[in-house]
Amino acid sequence: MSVHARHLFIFGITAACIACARDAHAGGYGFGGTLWVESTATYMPNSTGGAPTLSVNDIATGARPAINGSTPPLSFATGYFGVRAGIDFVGSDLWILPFIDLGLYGIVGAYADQLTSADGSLFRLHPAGTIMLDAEILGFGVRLKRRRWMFEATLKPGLAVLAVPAAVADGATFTDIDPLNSVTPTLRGSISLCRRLDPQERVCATVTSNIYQWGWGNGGSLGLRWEFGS
Amino acid sequence: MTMKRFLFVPLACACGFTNPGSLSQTDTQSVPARRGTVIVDGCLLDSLQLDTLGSAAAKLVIRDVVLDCLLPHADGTVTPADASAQAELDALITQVHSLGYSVTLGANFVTDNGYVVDGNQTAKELADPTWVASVVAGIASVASQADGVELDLEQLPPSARANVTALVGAVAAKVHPGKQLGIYLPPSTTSPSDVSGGDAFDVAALANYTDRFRVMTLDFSGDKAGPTIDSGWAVDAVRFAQQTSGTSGIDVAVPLYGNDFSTSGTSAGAIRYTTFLEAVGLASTYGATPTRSATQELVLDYVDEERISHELWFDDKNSTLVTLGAWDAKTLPTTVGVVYYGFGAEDPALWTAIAQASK
Repeated sequence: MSVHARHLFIFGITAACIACARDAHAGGYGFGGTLWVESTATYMPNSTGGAPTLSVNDIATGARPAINGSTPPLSFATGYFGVRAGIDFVGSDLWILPFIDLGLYGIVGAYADQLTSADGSLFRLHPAGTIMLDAEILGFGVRLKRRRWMFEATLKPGLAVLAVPAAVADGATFTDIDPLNSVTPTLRGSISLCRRLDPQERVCATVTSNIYQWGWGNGGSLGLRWEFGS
Repeated sequence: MTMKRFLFVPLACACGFTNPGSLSQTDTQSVPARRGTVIVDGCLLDSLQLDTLGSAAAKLVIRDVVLDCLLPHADGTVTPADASAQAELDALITQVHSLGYSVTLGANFVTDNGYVVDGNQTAKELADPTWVASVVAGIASVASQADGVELDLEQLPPSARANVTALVGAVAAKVHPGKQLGIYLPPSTTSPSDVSGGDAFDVAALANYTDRFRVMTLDFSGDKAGPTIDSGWAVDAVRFAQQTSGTSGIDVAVPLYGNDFSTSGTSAGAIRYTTFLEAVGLASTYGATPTRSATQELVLDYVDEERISHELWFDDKNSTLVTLGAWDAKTLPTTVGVVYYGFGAEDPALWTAIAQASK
């Protein structure tokens, strides 16, 4: 898909969502939509349930032409703070069909550099500079309304990527390399309690469980979300 | 219909998660259990080495002891040959056997003074069938009480390739099946070899005679001051050998000694082998503090009484554990053993640390 086509696609989705939102708000029980933005604090214990391993691909040093492998799992807990935004569709004012959302997070806290290895070579990780990106698509959920209040629960599959700044041991010194990455499928379950601020806007408090994220039951997040739409 | 406002409210739970320490390790708390061999430079074990071999920790880590003490000479004799030295060697082998270890004797193909490597001279000797027959008989005779023989041939020209194979075949015919035969292999990672003497070894042909290849992944930095080993480079050397080594066993080498590089004065460029305890003593004597390099090896910069600068690279238990830990079972199968070179020069706490970390 070209950049032009991609822009058209995104514009179309957004326009449809807004149109649906207007329609749903007017009619109440049609097909509606919501644009939302959420600030999120998330935590991953990275313990028994699973933990990220970082991929190393074709890293060259003075001693080796190509290092390929992965690190052992990161065995320390991590916390992140970031922003997530997305588009949901709403059917019959009851069913939520989360279409897509994207998130960007930075690690929070003090972390010492870590020594690890991959394919026999030593690497120094700088966890304090870690960022995480995620995307969720085509989830499923329900919601219940009572006057200005609304409760909703969703289940969303997706992908998450972790990027950790790193350096590789190259003889006597470390040489900086591109961040090492780890990708995982995700499955998250969320419950939200929302209150309508005006006919088009709503604010929600959200609790999310990482049902699967580099492992089963690997933490979760708290969020505060602003919604625009039905 | 404009978006009036965004609510980005930092939540109170955006708290910190602290991991104290300057460079902590994520994965080297345990190391895979591997067949361990120690190489002793000489025909003797001092009381400290014998005490170490008698320890419970060493018995968990070490299985084989190699005494690097046989010297083939230019006249085709192999020493130690006199009755007294032979008796002492046999007694030592019996003593080490009693501690529960197998003992093999290493033959160093060096000049007659016992320590200078002259590959061209050795290549000429290997081309003489009479010399080879005499040396093979001598090795088998001196090693009669041992469990095996190791051959250490260094700096040979590529032209010696066929003769090396012939020598190994002749030794194998003499010692098999009762004894094991091992070969110290230069740490080549390419073909043609990227290390001096590497092309003299036809590993595929040698595998027909060899029970175990010891890939000598030592002196990584050569003549320049630097690490004694790079754990990733060692993996490449072992993998390269594995491509042609067939069913023969393979060991990766770990240095127990340190290298003291003189970096100024008339001795600039000289390298002197040191022990861990000597390195600690030098640090104390000259008020220098070792720092850790990227390989986690310790580096001691000091200036001696003659105002000569030194850069001393040496391992302690922590750096050796990091090296061993980098060789997880996925990177190097646990069938790959570890040969520790320079037994007696190590950090005294090493064997206990490895025994505790082995899984």
